[in-house]
Amino acid sequence: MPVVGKSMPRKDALDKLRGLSRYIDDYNFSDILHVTTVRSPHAYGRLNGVDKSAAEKMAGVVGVITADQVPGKNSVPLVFDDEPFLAQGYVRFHGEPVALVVAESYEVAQAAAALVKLDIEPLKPVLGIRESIEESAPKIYGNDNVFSRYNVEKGNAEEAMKSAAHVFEQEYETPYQEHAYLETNGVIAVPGNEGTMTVYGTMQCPFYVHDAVAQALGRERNQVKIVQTTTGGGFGGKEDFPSLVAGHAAIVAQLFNRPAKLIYKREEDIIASSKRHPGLIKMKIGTDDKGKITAALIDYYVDGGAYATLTPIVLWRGTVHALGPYECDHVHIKSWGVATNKVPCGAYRGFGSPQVIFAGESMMDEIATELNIDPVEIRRINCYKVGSSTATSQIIDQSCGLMETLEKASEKADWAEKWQRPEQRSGVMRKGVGVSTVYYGVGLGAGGKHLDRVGTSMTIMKDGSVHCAIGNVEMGQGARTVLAQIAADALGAPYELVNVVEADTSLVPDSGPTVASRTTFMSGNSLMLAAEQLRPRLLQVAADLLGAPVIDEVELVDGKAFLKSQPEGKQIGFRELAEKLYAYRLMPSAFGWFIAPDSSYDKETGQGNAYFVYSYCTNIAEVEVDMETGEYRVTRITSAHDMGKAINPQQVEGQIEGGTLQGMGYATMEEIRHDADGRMLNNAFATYILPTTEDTPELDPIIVEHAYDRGPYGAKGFGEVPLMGVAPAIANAIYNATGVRIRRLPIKPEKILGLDK
Amino acid sequence: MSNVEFIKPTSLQDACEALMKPDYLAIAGGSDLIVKMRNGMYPNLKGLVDISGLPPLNTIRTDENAVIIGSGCTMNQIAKDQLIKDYFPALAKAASTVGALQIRNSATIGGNVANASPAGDTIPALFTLVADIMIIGCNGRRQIPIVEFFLSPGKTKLAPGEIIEGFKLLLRKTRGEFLKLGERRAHAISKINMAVSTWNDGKNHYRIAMGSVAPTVLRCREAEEYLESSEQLDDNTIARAAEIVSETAKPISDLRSTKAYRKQMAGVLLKRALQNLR
Repeated sequence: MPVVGKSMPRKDALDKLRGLSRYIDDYNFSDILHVTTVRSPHAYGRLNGVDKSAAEKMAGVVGVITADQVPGKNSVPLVFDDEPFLAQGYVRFHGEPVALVVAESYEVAQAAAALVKLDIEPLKPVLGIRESIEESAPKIYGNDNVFSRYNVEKGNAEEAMKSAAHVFEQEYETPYQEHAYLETNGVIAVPGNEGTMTVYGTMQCPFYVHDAVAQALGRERNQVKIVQTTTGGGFGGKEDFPSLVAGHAAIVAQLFNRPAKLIYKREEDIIASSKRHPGLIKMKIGTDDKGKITAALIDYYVDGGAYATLTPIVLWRGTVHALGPYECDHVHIKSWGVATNKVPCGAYRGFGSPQVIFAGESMMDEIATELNIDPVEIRRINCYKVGSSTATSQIIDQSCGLMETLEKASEKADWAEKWQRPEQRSGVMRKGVGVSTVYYGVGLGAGGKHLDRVGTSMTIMKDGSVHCAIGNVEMGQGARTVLAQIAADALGAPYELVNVVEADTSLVPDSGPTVASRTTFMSGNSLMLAAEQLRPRLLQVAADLLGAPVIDEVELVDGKAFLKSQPEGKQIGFRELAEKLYAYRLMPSAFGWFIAPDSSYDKETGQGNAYFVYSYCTNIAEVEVDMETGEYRVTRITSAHDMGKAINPQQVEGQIEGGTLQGMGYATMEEIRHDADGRMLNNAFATYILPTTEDTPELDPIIVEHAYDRGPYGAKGFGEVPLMGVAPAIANAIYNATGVRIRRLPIKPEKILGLDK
Repeated sequence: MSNVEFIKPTSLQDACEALMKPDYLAIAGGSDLIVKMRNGMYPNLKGLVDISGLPPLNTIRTDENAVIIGSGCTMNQIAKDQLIKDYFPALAKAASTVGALQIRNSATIGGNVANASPAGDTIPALFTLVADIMIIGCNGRRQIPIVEFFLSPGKTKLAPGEIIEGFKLLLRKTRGEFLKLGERRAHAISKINMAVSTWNDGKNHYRIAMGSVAPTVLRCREAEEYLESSEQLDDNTIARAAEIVSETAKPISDLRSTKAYRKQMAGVLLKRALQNLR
């Protein structure tokens, strides 16, 4: 493997470094229209009408578009299709799009938006999980405000709890988290001939956008083309939401038959786009005297916001993972995704898992404390190993490096030296150390298996350069680089000659979303399938040129072909092979289509092989707390990850470092606030507080490789995992330093001192 | 915003005249103003008068027994100035905690004061240094002691056509401390901030002021008097002074913090400041 396993430079690094990469706002088209969105100022209300007259009279305004003018169907296709492109009849959250103002300039569109008068009769909103599930709550969705619910039942947890030696019961709460990607949402829709529409934009899931634009316009899929532009971050925030933005621009472009540009300001991006779901987790865990878990009862609620969007799938992942990576024969997990009059929540790195991981990993720490067991030791006792059975009775049959991550992280962090009970600590400045262990089902799993396939089109060009169109996107995570490494080695091509291009729905069939840490595994496998078809043709050409009777006698590695018997002998370069390939008129293209390994799920009991493989990690956080002010510094985080195989170790470390910081923000400061009427109060970076480099701890990433036999070169997927368990590791470290247990994120100094009310 | 007139005057007099017009505002570093404009807080704004770079505003100079800090001095300029560091350490420290490095390169002390935020970091420091605000207008100059300058959040005694020319501080060596608590380590608006300055002219003088605990920065006279009347700065004295400021603080709960936390932290910060000055 000449390049797999090596820290090859990123394909996109130099252009980004030099400021040459073009993001959507850098694009322009002649005759372009500018669009701005008029949003609901109320969390809930009856929409009686929209008075456009004043806005339409303003010079430079081309029109004001409302729900009645949507050419196709006024609903964003996703799981339940319940979210409209533009509000109709009701407004259901503060910031919901009601009308689109179209003008010749951005400034005019902005100014005219203020003149659009919305006639809304406010209704009393439902603003939280506890409120939404009350019997007496106003019904804003169905007859119980529940979008979806799941049940995972293994053994008989209720019975087993009765005979447990120790029973622990606690509630935990987690807040919203905003993705805060550098590039806000934005698209340009360009109408073409014969009713066609091309949409360019920043996004994670071009095929979702494809569905949405076709539906908004009432067009066929072959009339709509989606081209992803260089994307400045997604983290899940550009999974479902760009569908809505693209729909808006495409509606305008079609109605006026002119290109339409719609770029969000930061404030409207925060107010309107999806977030991590707030969570409420009630845990009851039974153990024996040695700390072995014997029964688990878990109730998990998420606040889905005003529309279902991705809530049913987010909830499913969280439900399956709710106990954490611990063996237990008697598990009962119930979950509910509830409706409120707030911004619809969706995907964010971890996808419903960080909430339950905070609860579960805090609970493990509480159990360890009560039973007087070292928190690392209690994990050794309970953690998954090869042969373990999950909460869905799936047997972990291979590629389980969890124990190795636990041992390596605790050794590197010097856990045994640093850990002592909180009561042994004293002084104003107190150090503490905390641990968390995490497992994560790679890919869409049984809940989304119908979408879990991906295509690749690979072409060897005449000059020997290799063009790969794939079904997943580059959004800053390094996909184009890692996938080019896989393609290069699979084909035997030199890395420099392989290019993986940004996604375009006209190049590859629907390959599902770029989510769930699936890209390296899925697209990597489809590239290998394409390479597998092309390689014999290259070897055939090489055999001819080297005078070998059969292709089995020829090797092709790193762009050089040679006789296996004479590795130091004559070599044919990749460009020459390509030239001959064309001269022989052999087909220089191949298509790879990879279907995910099987998974299964029983609707009643939640039992089955929920995901085809899991990734694992251990985080150890160290903190120093000022006992007088409650302020603290996270001084170091050691994270060991098993991702099967690190295709590009530097990219892996980058993912660990970035994800760990996002997890630290979630743990320590990030929070969305609303007023009593449900209006979002802090939709700006001055008030939505994120960590800066000044807050960054020492980060110590460790790579652990337990290969997966179905993965490309053994790789699983792990991009989300670095964020997921950071919050409980920090919360546990805070407890270890102070003796104060924080069960409601974020961990603010006010809470540590009990002065948060 | 595109219809805002931008005026670049060449003299203070021209600047004052331009600012006589209704809905014209002075801009220097712009680190508060631009954000407020973008947030739609000045819907009727007609013009900006750029006073940055007007020569008399950008210097720190001594004048007989006073130091005059030009209102256009940036936070970094103040934080790094040797005279300020030696004579008015509370102010140097306060200036060095504002925003982040890039903001400190553009934000000015005049802007920080004129913006009149109860959380403005240099304001408590200027309170403790008994600064006079030097104001220039179309009809001449006047001075106001800083403790009398603020009316409410964002509101001051500046009249139309007036700008802050500078701050006049007695050339008197002080020792001082500035402490703040924010939501993160940089780019943080204070949850609470506290300045303490002390000097000895035969007897010990103390000045204490804190921000983000009332609609305007609060001077803590009771604690000052208590410290000045105390024999020595021992632990008991410090603890009592901390109790007094905690009582003096009249904070509210908002997005950044809570009333209870701020009240308690007033005491903690004063204790720490005094311990550092002991």
